[in-house]
Amino acid sequence: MVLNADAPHETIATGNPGTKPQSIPLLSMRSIVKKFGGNLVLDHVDLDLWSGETVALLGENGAGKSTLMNILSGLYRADEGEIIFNGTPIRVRSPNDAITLGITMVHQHFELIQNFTVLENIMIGSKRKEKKESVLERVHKLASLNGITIDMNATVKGLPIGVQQKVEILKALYRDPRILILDEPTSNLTPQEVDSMLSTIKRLASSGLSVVFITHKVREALAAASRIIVLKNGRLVGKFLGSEVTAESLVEIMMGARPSSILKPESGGFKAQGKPVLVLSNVSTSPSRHRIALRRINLTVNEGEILGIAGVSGNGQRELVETIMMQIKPSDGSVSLFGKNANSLTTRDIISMGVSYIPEDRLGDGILPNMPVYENLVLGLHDSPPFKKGWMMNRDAILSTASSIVEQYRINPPSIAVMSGVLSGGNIQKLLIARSVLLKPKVIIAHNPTRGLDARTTEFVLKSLVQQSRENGTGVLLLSEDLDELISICDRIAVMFRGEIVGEVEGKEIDRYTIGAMMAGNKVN
Amino acid sequence: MADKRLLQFYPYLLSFVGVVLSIGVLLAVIGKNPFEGYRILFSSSLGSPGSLGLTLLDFIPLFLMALAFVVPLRAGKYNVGNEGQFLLGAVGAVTVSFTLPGLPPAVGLPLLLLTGMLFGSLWAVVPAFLLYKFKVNEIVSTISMNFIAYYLVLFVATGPWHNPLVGFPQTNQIGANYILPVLIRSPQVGTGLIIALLAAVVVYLYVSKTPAGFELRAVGSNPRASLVYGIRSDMVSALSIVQGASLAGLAGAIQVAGLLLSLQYGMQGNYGLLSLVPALISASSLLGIGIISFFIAIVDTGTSALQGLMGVPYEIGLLIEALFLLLVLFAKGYRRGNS
Repeated sequence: MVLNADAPHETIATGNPGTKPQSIPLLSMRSIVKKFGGNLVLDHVDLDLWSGETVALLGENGAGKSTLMNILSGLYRADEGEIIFNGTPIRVRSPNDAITLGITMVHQHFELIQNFTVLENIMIGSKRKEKKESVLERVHKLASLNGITIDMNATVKGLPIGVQQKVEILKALYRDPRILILDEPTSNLTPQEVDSMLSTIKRLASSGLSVVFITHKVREALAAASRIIVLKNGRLVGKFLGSEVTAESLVEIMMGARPSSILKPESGGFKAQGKPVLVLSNVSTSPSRHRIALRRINLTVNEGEILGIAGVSGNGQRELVETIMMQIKPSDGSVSLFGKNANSLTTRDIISMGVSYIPEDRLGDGILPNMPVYENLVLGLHDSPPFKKGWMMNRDAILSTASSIVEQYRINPPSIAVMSGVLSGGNIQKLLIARSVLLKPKVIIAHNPTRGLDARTTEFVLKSLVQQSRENGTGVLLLSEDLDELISICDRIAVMFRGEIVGEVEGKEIDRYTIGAMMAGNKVN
Repeated sequence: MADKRLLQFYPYLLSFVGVVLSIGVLLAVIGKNPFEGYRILFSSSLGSPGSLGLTLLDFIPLFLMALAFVVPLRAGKYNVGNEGQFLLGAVGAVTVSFTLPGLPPAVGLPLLLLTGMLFGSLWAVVPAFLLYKFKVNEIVSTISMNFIAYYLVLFVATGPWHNPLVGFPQTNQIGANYILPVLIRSPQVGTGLIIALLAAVVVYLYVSKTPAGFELRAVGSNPRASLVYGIRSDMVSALSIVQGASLAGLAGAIQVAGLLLSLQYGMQGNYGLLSLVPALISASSLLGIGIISFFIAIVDTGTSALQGLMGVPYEIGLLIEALFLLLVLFAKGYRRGNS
């Protein structure tokens, strides 16, 4: 079944509306409209949900998936439309209202208190009057029922993002919801963990709970959901039973056009001939409260090649990039750039030698939120020509560069003066990519550069990295939790586990399940 | 666009009106004629060239101390110690005058002003160092330094330079060669005003146009991202306090060389508190800070005239100035709540 994605929602022929079409749905959202400022974010969207089913809400970034669910969970209010729950119209004025009704949402950005333990985080805000022991027992039961193993007394701060995700789900389950909304719950997991998460989601529904699974990954929507609802630009563009639709047609409906699937110019087996630009030999670092230790890391990035680092977050990726950028000093071993020992250099030296950096946490580490786009573009480059002239910054050069970047990268809104903090995630990422290639870097270090981005922006980001390496001979170090992405563009892939490189594969050896096994800590000889 | 910007200032305008209204109410409560009060308030601050000159003299320290607060504020730091730094600037000024009495003005005056700036900066080195090295909250440390400064002034003003003819902690007059020349007689505009305005231009160029100023604003916007991109955030924010302090020191030196002609205990008046008002309203625009500082100078000059001419107690002046700060903070909170 292929639909015209641009057709207005009224005329859409839908598949079978649900698993129990004859019964009354548990929840109906009717003709929901939401505007932000002048922008229509949701345009008369309908959604039905029956008890015990899993619905995937599929769409690109900005399609309105999260907004629709934020309305249901009381974070936003709809401008028009009604919500019928259990046969009666309801008004959800606050997240508290929603929780009272049994509607719980696990957000994409975690809302855990970092200094509290797992158990304390699960209990917090709950109105139950229970003893800690009985809570613990109940949470253990919930966890084992859903295949989750976590130390309940661990402090959240030290946990990898993947584990924190599970804490959020447990926290939601503890509230005995009737509807559980999961916003992009698989973004940070290994392939094995994704598989187990998807079966967990299926299991949740079989106990009578209704699950809404927000995702932009077609494969996962098909794997976990009995029904799939596709949003595009704030409109409902398709409803399907999972069994009667193919991945290809979903991609087409979701994106409006088929994305080009081949990114790598030489597919597989590309052997870079370039000289080494970044070499880590036996690099170790000391652990601290917030950082794990790196242990005898050996890596080489050559000119014109892309080296991927796979691994579940929290296995030392952040420490690795911070060490290369000399924010953490190696306690042993050496980092060398272009043949020179870099151990005693500062971050600024590293940048001025031609290393550019795309940080993982784009809001926290990447931008100056209340400064305009044009000033953000030169952060780190502000002290070097052409952006500095004599004592002063070269405003003309900065403005003209920024104007052409905004146009070339189609940054939206198309203004160089807008404060970067108000840009969407995808546009902020474009800004960071633009900044990273602005002065023709010799090395790019990109940490999870596509996290949370829609397919189109993801493709753009990856293409930019490939282009830099192939056309300018830039050595790229790409750290990512998305294996498909690594496999699609990397020449070699090394795997990190607990601060160590546990294996490196190249060309034909690159295989998602081999890498997956290494990500779980199995060393490969 | 223009409408939006005007609308932004609406709450502040209301708080200014609120202050003026509450002056009337306070006067009525203590049995004075509020309308007579208003007449005195405005005629004594704006009514004649002479009174305008007084307001301008009050404007100089207010404006410079607001800048002393705002420069570190751009880096996200709160230099509440500008009062102490102001006093140290004044101490520096009299020190130059009494230890090098014979210098010609062309050498002596710049030296006096620079020494004021240096003393102010040095006073801020302690909190800056504590912040850089031990992450000691600068609000607490700069305020603490204020109290030490009060007693340092007392010590200097009652020491060998003490003026025995006044029964008050105050030094002798500085030499005539150290007095800032008056440029225009009516309204009186002294060199101090020109220097203050020049300082503002330098601050503007530094903050908005230089790489160092960019780093200052970058650290204020996101210290973590600044660090990631090679800016030494801790150092930049610590130095910002020292930089701001030099402006407060300059204000103290100008106050001595342009108005008081001696170091006096209590000479800081309420400048520290009042200077926060323009900085908090208009942190991003120096022109805005100038305009608001001028408004405050009007109220400040006017209320001191009320004391002199209507016998209104000194405390009423304090009350009004405190009310001003409260209303502005309220307006700021209200604006934030609405956006």
